[in-house]
Amino acid sequence: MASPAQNSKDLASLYKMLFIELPTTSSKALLGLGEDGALEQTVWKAYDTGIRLVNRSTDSLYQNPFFGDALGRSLPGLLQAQRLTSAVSGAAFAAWRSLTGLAGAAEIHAVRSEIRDLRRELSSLIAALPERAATDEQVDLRDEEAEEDFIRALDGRLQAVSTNGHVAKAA
Amino acid sequence: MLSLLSELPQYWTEGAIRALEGYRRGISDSYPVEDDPPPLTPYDVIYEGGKVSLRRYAAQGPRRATPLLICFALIKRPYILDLLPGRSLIETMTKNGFETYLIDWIPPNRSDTWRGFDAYVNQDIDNAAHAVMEREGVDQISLLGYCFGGLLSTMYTALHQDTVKNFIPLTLPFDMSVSDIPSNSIVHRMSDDTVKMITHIYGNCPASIMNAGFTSMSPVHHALDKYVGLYRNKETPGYSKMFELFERWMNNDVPLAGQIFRELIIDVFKKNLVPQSQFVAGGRRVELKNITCPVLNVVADNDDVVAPRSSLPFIDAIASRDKANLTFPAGHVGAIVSSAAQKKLWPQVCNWLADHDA
Repeated sequence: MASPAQNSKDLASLYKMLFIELPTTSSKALLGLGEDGALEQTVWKAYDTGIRLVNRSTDSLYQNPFFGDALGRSLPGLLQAQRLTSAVSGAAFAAWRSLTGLAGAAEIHAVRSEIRDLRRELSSLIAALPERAATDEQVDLRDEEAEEDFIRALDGRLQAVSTNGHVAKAA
Repeated sequence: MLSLLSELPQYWTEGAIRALEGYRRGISDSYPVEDDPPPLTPYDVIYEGGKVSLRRYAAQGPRRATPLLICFALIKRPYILDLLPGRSLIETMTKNGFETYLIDWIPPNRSDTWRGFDAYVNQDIDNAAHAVMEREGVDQISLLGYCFGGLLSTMYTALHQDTVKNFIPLTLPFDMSVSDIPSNSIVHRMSDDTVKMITHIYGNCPASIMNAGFTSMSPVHHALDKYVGLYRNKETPGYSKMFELFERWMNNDVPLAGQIFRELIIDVFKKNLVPQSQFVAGGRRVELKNITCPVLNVVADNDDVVAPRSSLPFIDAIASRDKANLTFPAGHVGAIVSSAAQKKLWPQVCNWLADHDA
């Protein structure tokens, strides 16, 4: 917590920087008498002191009971105002959305929930697969049959192309 | 120096973009955790349940006997713990042989407004601790809680002492009557009705309110000084990258479930029930004298979020015989991300854990 003594010290330091050190260093720099970077260093020192002072003042303001009370009292009003704004803009956007056919947040939320449920359902089905799955041999056999079906279908299509010049429509 | 004036607008623009992106993430009902930057240390998720996604980071080299469970705060994303090489707490712990587990809190959505300390402490942390113990085949864990995560861990240790072998609270907000942090005095002046109104309107406490709370702690820093700092350090290797990642994290506030927000502000902050062992979670009083395990209370000397004077009295409130305060000259976040902390603070913590490993 900033004490009044610290604030006074920082204020005096800032005053000294701004009205004594900075003009002196600037003059020296203009006359080519100062060291390289001395002016920049002085400016940054003044900046740091100023920032420290501002930070301490902000802290003091927060700790001021009158400020705290005023802020505490104004919060409900701000929240009510935001609630009203949200209600008004929500109603306006709902009307606009129904005109344009765009989905609202609630609808998107419902779709998301549905996707989540579907994902869960899919995961549980996948988890249950080993119990229902056939043995490795049966799977291999099924794969071979599917492969043969595919080759037969492909042969049929190639034959159709070679006879008619175009792919025949599947029956 | 004059070039600062031409660069400031660009810094502000980038800051505004980060803030708006953070706001967009915060208002999403399902918080987009996939927006987090890629992790530095590889991990696998070993358990998911309630609001916990439990990550396991494998130990490197000879393994310690007791696994470490890290409980992060509920109000930010945990990637700050594993940000850059040489600045990663996770990396430091795994390199020291600790099988490290991290509770990655799943941000609450509209259906989670009922979640209070009971749900987070007695269900989620307890489930995570048991998942770790089951996987590692041990009866106890070492528990490290950061900031708000430290508060949750303190409650957990007091209510489930049998599962915690060693406890390390890090920047623990403990004694809320300490008025060193200016924003605390504002929280103390908020009426209970205002707190309830926030959850009545929004359900959960929105991320934007959390962010406004942090930003208002030092408005000049956030509006100007941090950008001036970036300008002054633009030649420092790695500074701008760290700045970018850190600022992104700062804008990664997540909403706080309605019930826990009310309990936090009214019972923890305003009534200061925790140090008095009067806080009740799930019908059970959080009796601090139940904490009997070895405790290392890590405090950051320059912490401007949790005042050191708020954390230090914790040691006196517990019944442990083996207990100590460890102070380190760093800020609230510097204690976990600064390279100085990785070189000087965390090796001490690792040594302490190693001494209490058997």
